[in-house]
Amino acid sequence: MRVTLLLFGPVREMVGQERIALELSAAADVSQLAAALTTKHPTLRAGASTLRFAIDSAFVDGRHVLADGDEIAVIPPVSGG
Amino acid sequence: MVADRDFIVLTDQPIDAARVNAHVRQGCAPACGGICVFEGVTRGETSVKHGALCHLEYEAYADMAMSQMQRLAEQARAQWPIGALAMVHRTGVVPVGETSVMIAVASGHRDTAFTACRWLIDELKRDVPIWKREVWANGARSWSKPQRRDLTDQSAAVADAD
Repeated sequence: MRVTLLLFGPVREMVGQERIALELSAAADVSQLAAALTTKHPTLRAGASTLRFAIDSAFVDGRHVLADGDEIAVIPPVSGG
Repeated sequence: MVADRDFIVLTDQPIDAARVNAHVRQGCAPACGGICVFEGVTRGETSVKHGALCHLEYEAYADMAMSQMQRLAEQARAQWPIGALAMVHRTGVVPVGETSVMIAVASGHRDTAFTACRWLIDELKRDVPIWKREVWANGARSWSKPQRRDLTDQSAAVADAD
């Protein structure tokens, strides 16, 4: 299946794109998505464990099962305020 | 709706502090006896390497930032008897001395106003998807690293391991 990732802040800058598509096996979960992301973009590996993921503006954990066509935001550690 | 009752805004314009104050004053008069206001301001810094800080640049995932701020407002209202509440965050360039975030809580008594205001800014710094970049006099630009106390447990464990 194919999902779209929305990239922000330092992650967007490291990858050089605002959106990327990833191919995942059917019924992959968020932790598998994270692994696929760092495999494709090794520059993200160092900070991989600090990344959080969100769908429809809500954080999801590693066990959240994805569906074809999902749009997932990659949220590096935030620094607002 | 909480979203209508509370003043929750993401803006690329300077924050209008008078308007925020007016919202919380009018929102709960005459029942409120305490209003606590927090403003986060771009601090002037000097780096040996880069010289003076020119400004900060804030970037938000706007849809999620708004819904997270609304969620925090709802959670605060569920925990404390809040009369009126405002959360405003600025995006784009915020020069030294200008406000990037403003939170105001009005309540019957000061304890609640202080506690809820403190909780809201702490939670905002952990969970609202906004990122800032420091822009220095020599042209250097660097993403600001969150303070350890602002990290999620998971991220803090990683920071400790560094």
